[in-house]
Amino acid sequence: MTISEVENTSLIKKACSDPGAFAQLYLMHYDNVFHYCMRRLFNRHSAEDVASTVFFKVMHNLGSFDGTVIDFRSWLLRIATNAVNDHLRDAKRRTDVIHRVVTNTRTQSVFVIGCNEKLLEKKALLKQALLSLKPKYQTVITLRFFENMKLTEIAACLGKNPSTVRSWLSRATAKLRKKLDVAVNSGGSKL
Amino acid sequence: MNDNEKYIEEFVKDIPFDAPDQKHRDELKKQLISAFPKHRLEPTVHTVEVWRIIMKSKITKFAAAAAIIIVALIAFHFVGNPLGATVTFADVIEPILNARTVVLDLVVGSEETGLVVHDIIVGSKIRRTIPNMGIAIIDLDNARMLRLDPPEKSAVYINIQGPFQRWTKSYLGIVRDIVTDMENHPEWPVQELGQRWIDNQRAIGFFLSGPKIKLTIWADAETAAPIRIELQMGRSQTIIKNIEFDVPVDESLVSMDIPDGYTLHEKELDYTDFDEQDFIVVLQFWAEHVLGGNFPDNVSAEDILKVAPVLRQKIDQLNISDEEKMQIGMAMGRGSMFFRRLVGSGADWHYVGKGVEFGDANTAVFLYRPKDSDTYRVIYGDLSVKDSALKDLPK
Repeated sequence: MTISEVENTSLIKKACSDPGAFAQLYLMHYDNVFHYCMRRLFNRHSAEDVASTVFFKVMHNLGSFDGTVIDFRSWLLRIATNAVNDHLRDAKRRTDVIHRVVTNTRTQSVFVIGCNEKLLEKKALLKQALLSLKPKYQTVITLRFFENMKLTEIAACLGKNPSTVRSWLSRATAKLRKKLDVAVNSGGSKL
Repeated sequence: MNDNEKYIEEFVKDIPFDAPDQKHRDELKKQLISAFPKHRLEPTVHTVEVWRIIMKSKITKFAAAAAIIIVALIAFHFVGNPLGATVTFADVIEPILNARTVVLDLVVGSEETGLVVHDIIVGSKIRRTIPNMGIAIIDLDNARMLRLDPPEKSAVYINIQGPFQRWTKSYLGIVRDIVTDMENHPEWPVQELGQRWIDNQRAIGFFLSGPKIKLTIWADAETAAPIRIELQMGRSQTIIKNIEFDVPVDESLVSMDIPDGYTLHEKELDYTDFDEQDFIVVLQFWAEHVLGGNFPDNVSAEDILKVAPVLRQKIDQLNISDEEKMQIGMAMGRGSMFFRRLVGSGADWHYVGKGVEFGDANTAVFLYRPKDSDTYRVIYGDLSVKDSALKDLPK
């Protein structure tokens, strides 16, 4: 481990009993957790709700974390993944999410900086296609293409074998591509 | 990366997402801090050089004989601790050192896969129940064991003088020895691990380590009663849990008398002597009768404990006399003792039998260096044994 990693590992331990250290740890990771939730849920309010849930879970379970800072990101993303999947598991909520996506696809958020109409349309298509996949496929797509994690890192994060993750990723990318192709060719009306 | 992955990577490139909102981040931070668990607002880790103080103390000369004095010394040190933990190491080890009756579960190996043994300890006697292996009542003072086989209603006395007596002691006794022995090792610091939830109880932890020993004790943060003890000795891991101290125990459970309805085996067994040949019997029987001619993937104390019921079952199935079955069983018991002594001695040993077929005279399955020896003993797949210098060991 580097000196910085050692210091951060020490911070994690300290954060178990020191609110100030926990606040520092929280600020170091808030953006990453929010981004992950945002890319999974495509909705700011849902992402903020789930990010809140994630950090409360982290606070209550930090004592059980006994790894290093290198493992901490995986641990954090595993908690975030479970929280996002819990959020999506409710069928009604999932329907609502997709409904909001469909009815709100071209609304530009005030928090999105410097983007054009074409990218917003692509984003709308991606939202619809991705949210129609099973949560586990959404998870591996997000971890692979937005978090830029390697197969082994995703496997460690999800507690699965790399071969399982490879299989999920293969199916997920094939399904997503098929859906995106259809959507692109139909202008987004067939998903 | 295949075509689909390239396609998606290209598709998602540059797609914009909302940036985090500073207001939400700050608001959540406030909520988290205000909800921070109050019971955790305590120091997490500080090293206590208890033993250095003990060794400098004039009281030390009186302390050697009585563990209770160690407790008093530790208590003295902790009382003066400005960090003010309410539960001290002295409080935690007090029942370990002094309880007359203890009931506990012992997990040999990892929590998920280890063998669970149930012990009832009354003074120097132990009633040990091992799944599928029957009951052993051990009288440590008299170096004798009464082995009961409930399904067969049979009983046999076993002489456990010598090393077996030492190893048969309760694991709590081992913990007691380590804690007591710390007096002689000022270089073994006690570390407070802070608090965490263990088995739905708020627990405070203490850790100490010496050469090849790591001991962690988690105790109830309110009562100081130990609730979980993790002991790592070399490569062997043991967890003691579901612990109850000084509970009323029916003393007939540790009686060395033959229970009503049981038949006593006329010959007393003897585990006082064992050697490499006994261990070879274990390897041979394991490979020949359990694994169809292949040596096991791994051999550890935990593996031997786990396979023991299967070995016993296979012995019972042999078409030989009861006396011969007993001889094989005895040899395997002694073989286990040999292995345990080897592991406990800190000797350099390696099991390399994974994938080796029984009878393979060219491939080593086990090698070890006996104490005070310059050469290694190498056991091959045909169970031949050769001495070998370090440089000549099989790759």
